[in-house]
Amino acid sequence: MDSEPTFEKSVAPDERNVTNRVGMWIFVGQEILFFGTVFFSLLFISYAHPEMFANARRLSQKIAVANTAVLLTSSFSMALAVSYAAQLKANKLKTCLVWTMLFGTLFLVIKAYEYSVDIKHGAWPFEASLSSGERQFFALYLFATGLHAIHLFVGVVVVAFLLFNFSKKSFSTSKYSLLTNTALYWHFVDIVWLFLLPSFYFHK
Amino acid sequence: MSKNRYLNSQQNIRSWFLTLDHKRVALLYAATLSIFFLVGAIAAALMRWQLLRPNSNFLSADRYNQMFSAHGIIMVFFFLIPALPTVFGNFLLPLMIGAQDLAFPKLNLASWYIFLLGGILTLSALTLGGVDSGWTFYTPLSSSYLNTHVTLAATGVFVAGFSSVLTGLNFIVTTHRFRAPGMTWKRLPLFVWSLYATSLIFVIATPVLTITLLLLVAERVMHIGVFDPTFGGDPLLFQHFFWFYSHPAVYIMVLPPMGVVSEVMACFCRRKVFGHTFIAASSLAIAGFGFLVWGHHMFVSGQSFTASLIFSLASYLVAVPSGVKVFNWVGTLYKAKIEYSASMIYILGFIGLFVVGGLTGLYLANLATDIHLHDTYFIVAHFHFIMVGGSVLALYGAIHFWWPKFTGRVYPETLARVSALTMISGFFLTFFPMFIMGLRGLPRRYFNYPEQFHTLNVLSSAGAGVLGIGYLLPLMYLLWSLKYGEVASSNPWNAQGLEWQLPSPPSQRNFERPPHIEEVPDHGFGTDL
Repeated sequence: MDSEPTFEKSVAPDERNVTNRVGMWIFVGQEILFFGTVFFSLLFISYAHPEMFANARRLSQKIAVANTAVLLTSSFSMALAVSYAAQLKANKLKTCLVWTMLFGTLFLVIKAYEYSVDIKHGAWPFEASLSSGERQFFALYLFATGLHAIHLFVGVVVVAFLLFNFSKKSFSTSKYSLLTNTALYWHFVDIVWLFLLPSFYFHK
Repeated sequence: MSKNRYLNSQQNIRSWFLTLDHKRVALLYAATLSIFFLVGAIAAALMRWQLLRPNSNFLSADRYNQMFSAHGIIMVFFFLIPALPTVFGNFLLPLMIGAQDLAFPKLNLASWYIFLLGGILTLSALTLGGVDSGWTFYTPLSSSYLNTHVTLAATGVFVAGFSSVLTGLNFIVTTHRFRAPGMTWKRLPLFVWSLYATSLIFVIATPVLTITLLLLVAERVMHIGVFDPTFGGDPLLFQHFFWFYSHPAVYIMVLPPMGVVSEVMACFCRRKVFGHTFIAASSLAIAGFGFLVWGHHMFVSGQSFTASLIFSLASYLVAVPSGVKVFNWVGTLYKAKIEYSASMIYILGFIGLFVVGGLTGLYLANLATDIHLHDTYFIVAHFHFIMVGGSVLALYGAIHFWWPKFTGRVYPETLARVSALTMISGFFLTFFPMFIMGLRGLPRRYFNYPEQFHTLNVLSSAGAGVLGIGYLLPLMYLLWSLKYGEVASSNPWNAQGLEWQLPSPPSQRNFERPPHIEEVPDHGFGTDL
């Protein structure tokens, strides 16, 4: 039945990869606008409440920095995975994906722990007694880091799905496309975190 | 009809609800959108009934607020923004560029399901008692004071936003990567250019609305304090975010209709549209400039005078590319041998009514006059002239023009022409009095009004009745044509465009062999300018 006309250049595997990659970049572009809006809110609110950044001291810089190391490591293993995939080294690829998943999950676990520490230190927007600047700061902190955590969680799920998919030794170029696009997403989520870090944690 | 056409290749439920065929997805959207349009229209009908008398108590004040909110939310987010792109874009884009389908067929189907989910959420909110914030959801009213179903309605719109973004993404990638050999960017049909510009807006503007609505819900549920002054927030932040999306959104609502006007006009004037390149470029210019003018919705909000000046200037500038289109269309019409088919009448109506709507926009771009006209019926008239007199008319033009291609049937032409004229006259009677009401100071969104505006309101409500007939007539004869209409040939209108090279309706796989693409030709009748 498959006497498909091949006059469309994008049906051939390499071309399909490019098509998928273009789509993924557009998706990442709109995600940039997502987080851009959140950062803009922070900027805008800070004009009315310049003192709000002083509340940053109630967040735990140590946990955040540790978490950053975790996330960067997961990005590294993800990049390695892509490299191994290009070299058709299936086992090494799978190992790297496992590391990525583990470190991604570790980030989320540490984040949950960090939230519990924040609550103890009163760095939480739900106290009635908060002054305006405090409330906005912690609310936007929770909103931004929560949104990021949700994105990371989705990433972890997709990596798990990839692992499940790469159970065979050989894989097609379409799976390679899926892998590289997932890696793009993963690195994007990482970069968002690198913007979140100074925005919320590093103030005098 | 032979068995391999997209409509009858497979007929079970699964083949429709799990279809990957862009043409069937277009019909899924058409069905959903028709329902939403009906609900939004009923809300409008109830409003116009209420406004027949100055002190009517047919609707209470709260009920009336719920009606205009429902009307706005449904018509904007669940009808006008999706309609042309998802029905005609989905169906025609691959055909017009010579492709077998969109770049991401599964994503396309997913877009429809996401849209459906968003619609169900919002309709639930409306069924449970509605919202009375207006479709604009201004804070702190919506975030801190209303106890109606704002969260649920906003969530529905939030979900529908993802559908928009994915559709836009699909269209952009398809246009870049799936043009048939010989289909260069210069040869792209003007409808495709308009869809491309619209898709850019989808992808860039919608995420901002998504986060805005999320922040609104967070504010409502958790009082995070971004929008409510009581908690240290700024209501203007919401307005800036909201209009940063919603102004480009109005260009989403008008660019594809303009593309339709170009296509229909080229066919029934039997010539290439005057200034083809400029029309394509103006679509991109409108999309670009459209991102720079959002503050003209906020002239009386308390934003700085400097900001207002800049937005006012930008708003004048954004009218220029639209003007380029109108002049080019007029240039196309000049000394052309025009065939007044139903779709041609619809788009001629578009040009006239859009020009009125657009020019009144210039009144509103002017800071001084906007102070007087803001929040009056003048604004209501202005945007309805563009949205209904423009977009809906062009939508009906598109429905008639491509009906034979979608369904394989031709509708009764005389009845269609009468319908078009009914719609145009009904529209005019409904909305022109509103300009006068607004100039005389009648504010919008009020369930009652002073006695002196009685006559104008009666005219408007009468017009709404005629307009309703104009909407319903096509429904009847179009459905009639499905069974009893004349069977359509591939190209009943003798139009240019790759979609007319295919049978009516097309087979599931679109093109059996690479389409034959030539330079966009002069039709041969009359002189080319």
